Amino acid sequence: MSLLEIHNLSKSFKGLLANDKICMELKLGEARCIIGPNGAGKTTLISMISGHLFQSSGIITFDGKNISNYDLVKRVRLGIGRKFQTPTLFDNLTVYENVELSVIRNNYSNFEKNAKIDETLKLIRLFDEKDVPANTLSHGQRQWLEIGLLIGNNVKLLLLDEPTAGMTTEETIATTKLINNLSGEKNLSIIVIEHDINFVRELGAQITVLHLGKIFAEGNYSTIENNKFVREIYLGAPDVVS
Amino acid sequence: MQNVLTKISGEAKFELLIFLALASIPLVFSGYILFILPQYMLFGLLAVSLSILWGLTGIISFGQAGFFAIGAYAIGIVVKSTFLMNSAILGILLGIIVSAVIAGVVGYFLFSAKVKATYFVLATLALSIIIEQLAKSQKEITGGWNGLFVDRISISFGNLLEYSLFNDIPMYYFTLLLTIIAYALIKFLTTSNFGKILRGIRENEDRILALGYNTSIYKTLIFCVSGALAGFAGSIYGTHAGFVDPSLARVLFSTEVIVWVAIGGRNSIIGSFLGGILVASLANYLNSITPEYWQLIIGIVFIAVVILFKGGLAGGLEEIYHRLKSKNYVSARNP
Repeated sequence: MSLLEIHNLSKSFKGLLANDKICMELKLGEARCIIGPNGAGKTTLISMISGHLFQSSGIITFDGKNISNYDLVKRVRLGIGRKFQTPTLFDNLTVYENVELSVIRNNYSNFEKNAKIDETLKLIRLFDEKDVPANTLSHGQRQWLEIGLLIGNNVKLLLLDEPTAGMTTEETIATTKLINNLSGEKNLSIIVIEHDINFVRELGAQITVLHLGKIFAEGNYSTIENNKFVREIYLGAPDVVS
Repeated sequence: MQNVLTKISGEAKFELLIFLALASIPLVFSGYILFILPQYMLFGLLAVSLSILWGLTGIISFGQAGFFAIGAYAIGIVVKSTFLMNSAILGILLGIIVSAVIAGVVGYFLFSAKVKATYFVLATLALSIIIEQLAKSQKEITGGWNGLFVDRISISFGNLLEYSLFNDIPMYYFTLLLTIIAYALIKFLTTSNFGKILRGIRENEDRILALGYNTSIYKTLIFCVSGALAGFAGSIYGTHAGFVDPSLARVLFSTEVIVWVAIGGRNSIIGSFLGGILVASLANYLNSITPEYWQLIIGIVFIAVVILFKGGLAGGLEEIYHRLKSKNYVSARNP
């Protein structure tokens, strides 16, 4: 059964159609990449799933429930977590305190709480930095910490808006592993918006290409890479891809 | 014992020291200070009621004096008009409950409508003015402009024991005890998960919302607690001072509370508490030696502290402490 089903989802801003009748399904444990040129409607789509924006029309079903009219908090509590395009953290609190704030929503016992925080910190490779304030982390580490906040929050669906922005090649590879680990072993569903085409290839997930608010193409990396129209609108000249 | 002492944090030790000092003052001093200090402890609690809003949660209120006045009027009116045995306790409870309910209702509507911080400030300002006007206009109940005389209360426990607070020393220890209880409760609250979430709201409200916390409920609750604490302090103040008048609810007094907290350190509960005590004492002292310029001097102190230290005196001390500690740490590593 699909965890997330989107049916004919549209969003218009004062007449400008940002998303036009998007349909999509996501299974439990599935990762999906959304790519597309600037202004294709990627972040708008994520925002409608997370509850930061309400759709103009269409239906969103999550875990068998119609959540189209649920507000942000209600959706998070059902299990939809979002990482923003620019890392949104508790800058003056330590890494540990950041994760703690996400974990304590679950009413754990003290023991469970500490175990969950430690597990999360190790997963996002920030265990050694746990007593450091979040604003002293590198750009890449800040991205991981925000992903950690979603893991600590026990979400089932992670919406990651440009998770590798500002990362070194090494950090990007580690992020690929992290995301594959989350979808593979932890059985979490993940939607990733990304511009870094190498990352998209390494991730090996199914790809949805958005263009002018519509789904333009879908498939795995090689299908998308060989799609002439996708190359034209997004990937650009062939030498960029290879 | 050694073990227990090392486990307690530096801040907790400092707090313990302050309250021990307050408890031993009547053993050393006598006279005016024993009369006036309980009043300043209550001002300290009033400052704490703002610090849990401003410092902890990041919401500023210009209405704290309003809640303080509600508490003071509540005990005055109850003690005057009822002949129940425990009218004093009833008055204190009423002060707490009425303040909490008003804060809760106002907070609920403002926060669930997602008003911006600036508009919230204006609403609390208006609330304070409304309370002042009500105190002036409802002459039959409040005494209007002339105010209301409040007797020093007696606390009775059944028929067995009656403890009169007419003299200064019993009043001093009664106030100190209640202050410590209220302080400890607030301290517990700020270190609980609830307190941590409030800190999260201050740090990044978008993030805390996206983690599934309904921030308007948390903000309403802390405003409620803040109002209740201010009302509680006000009710004890009413019986201590023996007189309540509409000027208690004035915006000017609310502004003074902000000055206490800004000087003491809004992020620190003990800093705010001491800010209330020390700045109020300083103001009183300056007023007696230089009645023309005391407000000017307080103003200069306020500006100097705000410019020099980001987090008030408490924040400044903490910064110095950390700097010294890290210097030692570095020199220990690189001798």
